Amino acid sequence: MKRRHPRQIRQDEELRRRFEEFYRQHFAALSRYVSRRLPPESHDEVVAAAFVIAWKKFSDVDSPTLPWLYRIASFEVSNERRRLGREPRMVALWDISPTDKSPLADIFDISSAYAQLSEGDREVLRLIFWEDLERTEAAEVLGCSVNTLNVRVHRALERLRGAIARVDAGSRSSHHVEPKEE
Amino acid sequence: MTTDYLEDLLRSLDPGFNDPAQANLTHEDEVWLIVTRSLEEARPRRRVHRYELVGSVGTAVTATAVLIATLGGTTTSALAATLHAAASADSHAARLPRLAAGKFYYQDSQVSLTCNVTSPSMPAGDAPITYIANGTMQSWTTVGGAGKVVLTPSRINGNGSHFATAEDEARWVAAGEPFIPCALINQSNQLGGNPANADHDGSLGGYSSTVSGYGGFGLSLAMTSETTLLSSATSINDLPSSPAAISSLLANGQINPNGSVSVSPQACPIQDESTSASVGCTPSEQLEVMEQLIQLPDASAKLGSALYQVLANLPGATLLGPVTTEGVAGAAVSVPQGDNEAFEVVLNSTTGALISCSELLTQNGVTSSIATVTYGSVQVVDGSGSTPASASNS
Repeated sequence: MKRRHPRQIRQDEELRRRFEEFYRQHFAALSRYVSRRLPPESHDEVVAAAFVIAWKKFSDVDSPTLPWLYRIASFEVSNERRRLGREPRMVALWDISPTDKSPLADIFDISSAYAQLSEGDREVLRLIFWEDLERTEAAEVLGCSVNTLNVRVHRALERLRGAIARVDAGSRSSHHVEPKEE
Repeated sequence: MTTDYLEDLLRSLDPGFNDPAQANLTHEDEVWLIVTRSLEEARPRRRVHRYELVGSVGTAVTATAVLIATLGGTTTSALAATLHAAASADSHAARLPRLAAGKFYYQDSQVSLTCNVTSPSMPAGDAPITYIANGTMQSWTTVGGAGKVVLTPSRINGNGSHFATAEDEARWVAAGEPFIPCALINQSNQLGGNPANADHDGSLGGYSSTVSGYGGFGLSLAMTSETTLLSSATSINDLPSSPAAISSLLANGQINPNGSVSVSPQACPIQDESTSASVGCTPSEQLEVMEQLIQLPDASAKLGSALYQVLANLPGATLLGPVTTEGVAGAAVSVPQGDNEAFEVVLNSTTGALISCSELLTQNGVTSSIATVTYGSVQVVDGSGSTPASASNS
């Protein structure tokens, strides 16, 4: 059996210590990230899988960051969604912040509009407005340039505005919408 | 709406998960144990290579093409033949009636959802209250696919809606009649239930309740009446009529849930861990898109025969034996979703018209409906919002 040099052991232990520190520092954020995207029963497995991948890449990264961890987790979330067969089938009122004081009608409108966006648009918006990442960080998660990210955010917001307008028009005049004849 | 307000509203949608119980934040040490066990094993992670995924999708497409070819042959099973007959009939007997200028196609369908509801006012640890909510779904569309779909949920116990058992209703009353998210409570089409559930200023205040088990079909029958506008620019008009061509586009992620076709994969690109390359849709993702396509108001009549064949040849699809729904003889296709759910489509054996779509859940050996939409016949009306004098099922 090959024996490790004591210096190697010390380096491994130091790496392990740094990784546990990294884990303790970012568990809560990653836990929320996963909880926002998957049903509760997937949480532990997916969070653990993301950290295991992170560990395997840990020594290759100069300064592991939360966006770097999110990017790893994004693949695990995708894998889990495929394993589940679809996105989680939940309608949950706690999707709306119970402390929110915005008018109910506006919350319903934006909730309906948000649901009409593509998964790509929703993910961009989630990273910016829920994970509260800087544009550079969100770009790192998505593996794109900041310019591309900015364009994606702009377009997602425009599509959200369009969807809100349609929802709003529909709810205000559910019997008076007259689409043009083709 | 200002950008700042829009962004504030977006933030308000964030589930947040600051409650440790909701966010699994208390699992920190448990998850760390899982991680450390994996670290000890130190096995290199199997990487997903792009060519493997392409191969899988390619195999699925090839298998689909082969199966589609055999559906029309003499070696198919009796059930496959029944489905094929129904699908073929669709293109002949159930095609859309002619539409004069200014007229609309109209379809009146019934939706039934099973909601499991919990609320803070229920005793801790109590099982969810099960409520079956019925609603209506009306669609008005033009030849080009423009128009609207209006979903109207029912008030508590209205339109055949009911609690699963008398005990469920008794528990709901005992809990102070908490809000049921998939039902309307009052005649003004407003969020209701116990007034204590909502603040007087119109926000959700301290209200908290969950419902699980439904989010499918791209429709959300919850809270209030809802109108979705349809655009001819994002309709099924660009879809090819050949099942093989549809299968190919579907597998490649080019068909979007609204029926539009993208030049490049958009619907569900699979991200390879190493390259983030987009390589198309998995079979389960294809099924998800198919569910949406089949239920577009004009899809059954325009492309039913092709769509049904694509559906029937998705991995795991089962052709179920002659079924009778409300006196109408039908053929059914069931496609599994994950481990314990299935999507089931019932077609009129004579006309090929879509009778119903269901999402089924199997638990402890018992299969029940999570959601079912039963479709009425397509009729012609004078305008968007108009209804025919009488509507009957096909």
